[in-house]
Amino acid sequence: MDTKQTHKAHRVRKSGASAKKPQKKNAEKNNPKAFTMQSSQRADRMSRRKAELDEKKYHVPMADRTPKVPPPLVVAVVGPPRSGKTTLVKSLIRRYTKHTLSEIRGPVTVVTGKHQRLTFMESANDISAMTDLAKVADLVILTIDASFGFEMETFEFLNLLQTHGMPKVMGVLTHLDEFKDNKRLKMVKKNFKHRFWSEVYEGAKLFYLSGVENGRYLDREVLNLSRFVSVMKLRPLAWRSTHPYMLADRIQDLTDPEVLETNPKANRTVALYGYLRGMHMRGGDRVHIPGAGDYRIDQAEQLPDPCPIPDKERKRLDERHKLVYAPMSEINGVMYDKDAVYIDVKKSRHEEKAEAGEGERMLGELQKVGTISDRLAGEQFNLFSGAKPLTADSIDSADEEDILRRVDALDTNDSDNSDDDTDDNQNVERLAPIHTASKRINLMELVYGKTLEDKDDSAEIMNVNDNAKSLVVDTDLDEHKLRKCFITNPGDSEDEQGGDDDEDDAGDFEDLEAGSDGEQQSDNEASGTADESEEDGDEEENEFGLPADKMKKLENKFERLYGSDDEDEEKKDFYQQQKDVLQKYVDDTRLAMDELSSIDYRWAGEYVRVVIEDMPTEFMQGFNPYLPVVVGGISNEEGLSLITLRIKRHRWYPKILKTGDPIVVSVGWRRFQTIPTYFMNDRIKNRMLKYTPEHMHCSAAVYAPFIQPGTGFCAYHLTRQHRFGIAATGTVLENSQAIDVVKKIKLTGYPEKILKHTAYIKRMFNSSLEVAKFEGASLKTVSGIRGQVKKAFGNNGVFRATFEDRIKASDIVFLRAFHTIPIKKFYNPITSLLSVTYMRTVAEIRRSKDMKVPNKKDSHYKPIERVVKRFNPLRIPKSVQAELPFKSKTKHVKTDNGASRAVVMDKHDKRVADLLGQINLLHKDKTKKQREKTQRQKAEYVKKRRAEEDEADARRKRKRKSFFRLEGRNQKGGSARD
Amino acid sequence: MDCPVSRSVGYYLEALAALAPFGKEPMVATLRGVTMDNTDLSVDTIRTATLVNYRNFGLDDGVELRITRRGAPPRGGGEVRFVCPPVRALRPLRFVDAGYIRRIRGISYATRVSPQTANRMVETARGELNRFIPDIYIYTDVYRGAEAGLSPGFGISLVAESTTGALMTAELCAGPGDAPEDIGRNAAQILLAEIMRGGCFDSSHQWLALTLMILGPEHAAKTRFGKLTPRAIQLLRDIRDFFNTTFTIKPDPASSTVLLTCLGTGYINVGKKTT
Repeated sequence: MDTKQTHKAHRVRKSGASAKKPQKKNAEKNNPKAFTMQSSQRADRMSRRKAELDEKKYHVPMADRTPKVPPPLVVAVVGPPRSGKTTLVKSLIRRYTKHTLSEIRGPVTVVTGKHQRLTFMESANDISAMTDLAKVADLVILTIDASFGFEMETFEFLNLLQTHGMPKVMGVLTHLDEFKDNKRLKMVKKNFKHRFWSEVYEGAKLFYLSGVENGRYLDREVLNLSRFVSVMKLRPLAWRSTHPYMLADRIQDLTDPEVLETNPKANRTVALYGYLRGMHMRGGDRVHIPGAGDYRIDQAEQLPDPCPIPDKERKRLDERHKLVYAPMSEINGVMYDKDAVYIDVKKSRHEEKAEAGEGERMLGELQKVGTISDRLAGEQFNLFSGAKPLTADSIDSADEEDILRRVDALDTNDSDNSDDDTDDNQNVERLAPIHTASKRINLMELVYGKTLEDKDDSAEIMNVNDNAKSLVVDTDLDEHKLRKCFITNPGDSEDEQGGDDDEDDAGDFEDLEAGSDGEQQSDNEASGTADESEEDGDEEENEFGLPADKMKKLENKFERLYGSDDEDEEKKDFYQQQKDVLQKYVDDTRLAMDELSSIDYRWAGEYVRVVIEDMPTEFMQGFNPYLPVVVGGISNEEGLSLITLRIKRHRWYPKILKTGDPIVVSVGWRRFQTIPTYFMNDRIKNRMLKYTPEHMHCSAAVYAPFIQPGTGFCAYHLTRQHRFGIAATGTVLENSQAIDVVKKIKLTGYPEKILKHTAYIKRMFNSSLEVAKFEGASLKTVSGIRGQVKKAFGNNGVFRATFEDRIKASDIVFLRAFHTIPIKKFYNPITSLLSVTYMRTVAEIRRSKDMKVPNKKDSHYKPIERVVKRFNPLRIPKSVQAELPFKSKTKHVKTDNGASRAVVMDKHDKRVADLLGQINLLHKDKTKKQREKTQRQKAEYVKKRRAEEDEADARRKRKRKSFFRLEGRNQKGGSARD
Repeated sequence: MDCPVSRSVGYYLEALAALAPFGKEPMVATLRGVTMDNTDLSVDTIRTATLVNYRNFGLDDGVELRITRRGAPPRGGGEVRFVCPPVRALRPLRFVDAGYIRRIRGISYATRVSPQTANRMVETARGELNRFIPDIYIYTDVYRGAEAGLSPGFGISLVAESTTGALMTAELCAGPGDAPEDIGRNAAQILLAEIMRGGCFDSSHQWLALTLMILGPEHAAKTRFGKLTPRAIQLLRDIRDFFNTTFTIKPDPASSTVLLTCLGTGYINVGKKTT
């Protein structure tokens, strides 16, 4: 059916029987039976279900760090190629800003409302780009081509989202105009919706875009979509709220052209621009750029917001505030720079081709000349005759030395003083007030200042500082001031301090001022002096005739003893308390932002320019604006370790994963290739698995940078091998320096010489040294006789072993042991933004080299052939048998098995047999009749009972009916009276 | 571990105490050597103040320091056992109100000398402190026999606790020829000087506060110090170099203290296993 079709509104009847019908007001009252507890069991079940549902709502509380002016939400538009991503972004941008972008390249930021901005980013159809985008997207719009159906990219992307903290997901069904039949269209929509729900969550929003007009979707439908986007609520995601990150919307090469002139492949200095999200960042921090690697950011500076939210509170967004910012897209040929806007005036073709004029050529030659410093570096000259020739370097170093010397001079004065003094005085000197009560010294400057840092004698300072504690014995402390530090005498108010300064002791003196101070008074009470303050005439008195401060104190005491009126704190459950505590931390941090302004933190929500030096030249050369560039902060996630993962093969991935096959893991900000070793813990040891289990979790050990335990990850192969790309998912369990993964090893040996219970075993080991390592190990033979390794015998690996029984010469002796597998230390960050080099699996190498899988004869499975062993019958010689006691003698029992003999009956016997037969027959017949009779009787009884029950039921029903009729009448009567 | 007698066990414990919460497994360390001297924190102060200060950072239970033997310089022979469980992350510190000194506790110890020495120290220390507060209790701890270590010695460790939980410590260990009375009196005076300086952490625990503040979550941590010791200043510089984080340091002229604020680096103990 067409979505535009409108139905006629329902008209409420105003006359007639249905209008007169009394309105049912209270269903519970009208039908009391429906609301009673009919079964205690059911009630119990319901209550449990309710509790369960309530419990489901709880999440681990997380601090919501969304800043006051939040950064634009990242809206990722994801879908298979030709599913309408670009059209959708264009339509949405047109809807918000009335701009029509000819080409969408890179992120596009748009002011969409008084409080909201959006950054649209279209996803390239590439697993690396999709992974990076899944890590930063706040809202994902999945475009689905209805005429084609769901494609694997969509499902892969959903899996990527799930492992990196699930953001909001919306579906958009496009290409619906290809369905001409309304009925079919309706069915298709329904089917897609349900499939989408089962993949995302029940009730996930799926939009239908029915057609394209002027290269855009229908305005009405886009408007609806935009409204849903604007009211969207987001939950903070754990990883993103603890890491700073930025989706770069503009990239600029700041490399000195002179450097490039000399070395075109020199590392570039790159400035990345974007909104800082998640957390604060600072120049000098370490970041990871997925696809490019780890870098230290040289500087991070704030720039004016290119898409500011209008500062004035308006009823609706003004037209001129509907800004669009897409530096990579170059809207209408306009380019934004740090402090300027460039308009790109296209050159006509013939101008470009025109040969450079004389002036230009001269300019070009001038540019090629090396830098001044380069040229100066070679130059040298003499200041004085006979002096060392001066070069540029020597001037630099001389400068530094001079400064240092000056600092030294300052220092020596200080240290001289302290050296002269006695030990105690030295301590006093060290603890001399650095705080600034009178002098205005910037403490920050003092602590972090340059001059102090450059001190040569920092080692000396360290030595002095070695003393961990202060040993200042200061006998002439200001006792009055000291007293104020104690609870027994807290005269803490400012005026009090001033007033008391001339008195020696505040305790035994009381003036009017002191009387007005509540805590002063409390001290008086404590020390036992009479309470005289009541005599003060000028005190304000209340109904109890008590001074205000005393009244307040009593009130406080009452509160403390009998609880306050608002017991909000106590009423709050544990969950709420935890949430409040977290919120308090966030609020405190917000308050502290002003204090921390002297340290140049860049806060989330700001538009930031980040400069990175030493970026490989490939980054700029192969820059593709369609791929997202994410700058993710890493605080303590550098340094490699062995990581235990809990992994499960994806149920759609057609193969199980093999230990030793390199795989790409996407975890945190990173994507890297690594060689996993799969294992499973059998409560005693970690047993290596050659392949992952088919439908079960197992553990995997990989070599990778530190990552917080509990972080989700996703594994895939770099080259698509199957229709569904995601090979496995899971979480990080542990970071450790060593993981003991073992593999079973079975050593076999053969007896060389057998004594009673002792045997010498050969061919298990090659040297006595090997034997020494296994001394005491348990052995077992094929026939099940257990034993132990004792000691090496000779030098060729033969050893003595003892067994619980004498073993046979044909027995094979096993030694079962476990061998620790070294985890392969391979970590290869996937530098998809630079140039990718990656390790191939053995199968890939074989395929590329056209090699066959080696076919080892020994590895073939052959049917097991077991020869049935025939034992000769036991023969005991006659002479021996004669000697045996009777008990042990072989018994020869003659058995006549088989042939039964024919019985020939005489006449009497035959008659007896006949009679017995007849009697038996009669008895059989009689019992049969008896049984039939009983069955009949039983059936009759059941029938009778049923009839009785029916009658009773009918009676009960009648009774109930009459009761409720009466009840109803009573109620009706009651309501009439009301 | 046998520690050399050139430094007391406190020197090694300080480093261990800073590292222990970030281990993979609970740390159990037994250190043998000199348990008290005048250079480093004595084990008593570490037990009664340093480890108690951990509670401000969310490390409540499981931290333990047991003094099984005392060892006075020069030969030592003491033994302590330090136990600390690992944590995933610390709690951000917000400790600005220093409060008023509520009570004073202390330990006066003596090894291989007359047991009366400990009491003599207590007497003079109490005499000095009683003018300010009545709630004083100084335990005497006299070790005998093998538990007393290899050298004779005595000393006193005092801890003043404020209403908000700030701990001020002072300690003094006797050298050769020192009278117990002098040690008690001087220790009390050191404590008074420490109280006078104010702040939420005393001068010998500034390093602890700074280190754990910077290792806290990415929230603002704030505290108040009396006076920055040169040691703390050096640590602040080291923190800047190592963590790329600086503190804002603001003097508070009213109470002649220093307010320090920083944003934690969000250090998470990645080694600790989660299930």
